[in-house]
Amino acid sequence: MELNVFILFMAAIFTSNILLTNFLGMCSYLSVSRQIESSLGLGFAVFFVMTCTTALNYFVYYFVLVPLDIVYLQYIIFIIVIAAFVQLTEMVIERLSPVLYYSLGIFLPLITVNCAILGVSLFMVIRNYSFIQSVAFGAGSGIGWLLAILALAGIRQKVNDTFVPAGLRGAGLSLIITGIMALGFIGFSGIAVIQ
Amino acid sequence: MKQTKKYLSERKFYPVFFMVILTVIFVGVLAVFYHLTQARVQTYKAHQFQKMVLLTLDLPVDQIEQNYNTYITEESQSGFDYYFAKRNDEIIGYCFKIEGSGLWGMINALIALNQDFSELIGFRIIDQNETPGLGARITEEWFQKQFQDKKIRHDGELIKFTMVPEDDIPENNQVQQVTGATSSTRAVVDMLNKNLVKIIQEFKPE
Amino acid sequence: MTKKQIFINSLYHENAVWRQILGICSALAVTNQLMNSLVMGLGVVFTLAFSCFTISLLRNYIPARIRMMVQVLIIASYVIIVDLFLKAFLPDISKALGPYVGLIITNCIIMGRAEAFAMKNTPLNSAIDGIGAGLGYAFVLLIIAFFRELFGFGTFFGFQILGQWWTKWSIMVMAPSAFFMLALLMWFVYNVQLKNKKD
Repeated sequence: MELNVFILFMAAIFTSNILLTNFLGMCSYLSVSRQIESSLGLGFAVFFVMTCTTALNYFVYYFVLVPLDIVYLQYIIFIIVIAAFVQLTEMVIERLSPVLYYSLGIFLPLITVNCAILGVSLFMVIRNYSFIQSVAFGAGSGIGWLLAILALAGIRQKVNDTFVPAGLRGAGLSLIITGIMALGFIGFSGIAVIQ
Repeated sequence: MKQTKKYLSERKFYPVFFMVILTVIFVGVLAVFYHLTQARVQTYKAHQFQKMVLLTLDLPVDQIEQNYNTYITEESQSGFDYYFAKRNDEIIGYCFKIEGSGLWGMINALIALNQDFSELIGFRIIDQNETPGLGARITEEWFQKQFQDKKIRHDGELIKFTMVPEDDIPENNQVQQVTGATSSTRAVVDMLNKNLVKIIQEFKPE
Repeated sequence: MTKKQIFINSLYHENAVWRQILGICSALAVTNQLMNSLVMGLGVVFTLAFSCFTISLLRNYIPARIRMMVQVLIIASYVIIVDLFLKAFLPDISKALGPYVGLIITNCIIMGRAEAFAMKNTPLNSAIDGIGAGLGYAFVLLIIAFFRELFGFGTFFGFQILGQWWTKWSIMVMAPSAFFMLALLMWFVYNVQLKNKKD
């Protein structure tokens, strides 16, 4: 795949944003974006896990699944790798920095089911990225997700002071805001083709 | 002391042990299921592929395997798998298997060219992973038909395909895009143009 | 709770989409056509029922530390079984569902019900809860898809309803419309429930 790694990285952040263009990773995005601090925490955690698991899954796919002809198990294996990695990260953080552990607390288990993380690994396979490309794609998507959740958190904080109908408060408004952001991002489509 | 030891080892090894056993069981079940269904899936896939080749070349599909064996010869050259169709010892067309990158994954298609590669007589997408209901509409009849029976060479030069918005009326080798799926449409057009260039280069028809 | 109560609860009162805000990703991608939404909905119902049942069966043996991994393993296995089954016996439907298989595995609803209910209740009850949640989700999907397909394509399950005179609302075909429709749905349900409380 002849594709400039830097362009791939930038495109993964902006023009092919995993959340606003591919609509993956919505659940935690909607519930956590109430506060900027927690959004930052979750965003970084997602970035870290996404980058590492994409790299790991690359090896697993090309050095285990393909040679053994068990590609149909890729969903299971990928998600187990992700779950195991998150579990490991949680244990390491708990031992190394209890402060960080308590602030990240519930987010780590939440990341395991983040469809964006599995999605990025699956994309990497479908689009035939090389190792460097996969890492760039994973890192870029992670940063893109982080920026998206920060954007929503920021907007929600501003909007808090205005009048919102009771039925729309919280999730309803977040959905509308995200919908408008997604509309804006459609304008990016076609700028950089990363496939 | 002994109790703590037992508790510790249960803490450390039991989860891993449990996970491994469970994984083995479930993966085992899946493997069995997979192998049981594979024969069916492969037969179906081969059947579908033959059907697609016949359709692209505008040949009858009433008896797929029979017709395929009667008309089609499989060949491979310069990295392309192609199938040429002969009726009564006369070559009626060449069917090439091409691929290109789509928005979500690879797009695989079959294109049929006439004897002197001057016309694209058939086009069928056989595999794609685009957004269902949106990009995936590239498999719809109206879209694929736009590429069919089109002159692609003029004075030895390749006439490329280009995109126009869905409301415009396309002329010659212009194709209407799928509304809301610019990327997928462009992916198809690019795939076609790139592969046509390559094919003409490699096979050098007059 | 009686079985009926469990069912109604997970279907309506604690509806996965509008109450718990789960399963959004797939609700956005799938709902531009009714057929796809139906297939997705049924896939989720099946996976939910069997996964919750199995997880509930094992609930006393799963070590707390790795329960997420175990749940994910079980869920993924059932999804793959569904996928393999469809590929072999209903290939056309499999083609429609294909891209969504990954989405079902990470569908937060399944994990959510597993954690919230299946880990603490008996297998049969868990299965019922799962079916209720799945149907509630499917129901929301179908409502959104109804409007999106009607206004975006003018069709209903593929059958043309609105003729040529209808200018298709392209935005309904693209994903952002799902955001807006979902928000509207939530608003509507909120007001309905508010009215019911007042009466």
